[in-house]
Amino acid sequence: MRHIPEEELHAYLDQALSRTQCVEIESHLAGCARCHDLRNAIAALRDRTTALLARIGPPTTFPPPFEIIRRRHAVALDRRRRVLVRGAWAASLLIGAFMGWEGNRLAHPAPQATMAALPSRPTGQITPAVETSGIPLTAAPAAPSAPTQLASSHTPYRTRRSTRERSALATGPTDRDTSVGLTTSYVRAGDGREQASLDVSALNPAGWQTKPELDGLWRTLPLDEGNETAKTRVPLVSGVPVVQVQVQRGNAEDEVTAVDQQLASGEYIRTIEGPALQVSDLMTRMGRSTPTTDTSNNDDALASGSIAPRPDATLTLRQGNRMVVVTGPSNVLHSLMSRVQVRGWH
Amino acid sequence: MGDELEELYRTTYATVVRFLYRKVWDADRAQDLAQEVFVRAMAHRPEKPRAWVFAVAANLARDEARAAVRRKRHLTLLKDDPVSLPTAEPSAEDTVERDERMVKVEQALATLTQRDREVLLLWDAGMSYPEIAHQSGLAVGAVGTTLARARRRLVDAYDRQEKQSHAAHS
Repeated sequence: MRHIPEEELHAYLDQALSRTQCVEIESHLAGCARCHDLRNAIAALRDRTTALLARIGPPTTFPPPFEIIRRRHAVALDRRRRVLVRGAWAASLLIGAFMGWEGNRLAHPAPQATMAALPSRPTGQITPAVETSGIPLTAAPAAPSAPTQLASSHTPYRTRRSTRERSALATGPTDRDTSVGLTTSYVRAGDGREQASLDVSALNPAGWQTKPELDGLWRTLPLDEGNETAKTRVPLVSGVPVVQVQVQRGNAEDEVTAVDQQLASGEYIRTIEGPALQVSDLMTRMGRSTPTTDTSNNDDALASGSIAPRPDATLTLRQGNRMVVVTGPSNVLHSLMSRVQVRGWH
Repeated sequence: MGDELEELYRTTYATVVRFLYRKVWDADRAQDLAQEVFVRAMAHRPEKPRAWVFAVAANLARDEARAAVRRKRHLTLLKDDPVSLPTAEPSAEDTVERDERMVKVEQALATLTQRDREVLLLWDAGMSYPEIAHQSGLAVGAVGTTLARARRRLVDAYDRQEKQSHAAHS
């Protein structure tokens, strides 16, 4: 005969069993003296526990009026409401500040351009005829951020410009433009000599209808003298008429030369050669100073072509501490890359 | 709901205070916490208010015990005394003023495990087995087993103290 487990008898006495279970237990208890005694013992234990626990109670307490609970609840609600209101105020202030900032940013958008915005150009390798000790430069017009590198036989010793240098090379009106495609590779030739590198930067999709003024003091050379200087001392794009040659005097090594050439379309190309630091600095200042006309009617002036917008592409060649920067319309510049002559470089 | 809660308040308040008192061992604090329980019930409007009230009371008592342990530890550190182990037992000063038998029951209760004590106190507060199971995390079938063990241990511990007390007096 199966006896009733102790815990089941506890549950039975605590009235925690179903009616069916109770009937079964009671019928068993009626015929089993052992379980009946156990039931009585558990009942005594239960009563004793209740009596012991009854001793450890607080003094007799009567519930205070329920109104106290209501009042405390109202106070808690009010406190929570005030916290919510404060939170809502803080959130609205933050949202307002953000919308103001965002609205200001949308109202005054910074000119942004990427290589994707540029006109399409032929794919494949471009080999500019840069006379650098007979070592050709190879540029693959890939993604805008991808550096244009020399032949893989050279050992790269630096793959990216520092942030300061990139800022210096940026020709946009604000520092924000420095983020646009100014990745450059420098390589060292197998014999240890530094070689020219190529850097294509997309800056402004607008065309370059007129020449922007150069920053600083420049002397314009007579065209004959200028042509001679250009042919012997500075790089230019061969086959394109030279319209102006300007020189910024300094020591023999600090001299900066700017050659303006006019394309058949009427657009200009400017080639600047000089010490890398000065050329970079000049490009930065050019970007910040142009356009030079009245900015109050920028849109109208742009539409009529009387304004000189920033160049939309920059081609950078570098050898040692010298730098050549060719600026002009990107579509033309890409097609002219192979015709850049760097006669003064050895 | 307001009337229902008010009725529950009238019929259960004393039980809740007693339940809390056996956990915090402070009658005033137990009453404060009991009122807090009903304030929260007004805000939450629980479906099963009686079970909910005891569940919240148990949680508040647990938080209170933790806070008391922190306070005690902080004071101990301030006095640069070694940290004593946290205990739910009443302080010695309080026990002097209490009835001797009451102290024995408190001490006997303190010998139980936390789960056994919780189940026993919930049962004494009038909670059903399913409610005890829900609150303690036990299976309903395990409540009977736990209660059987808790009752036996409580009574055994109390009897042991009685014997020791008699032996000390004689």
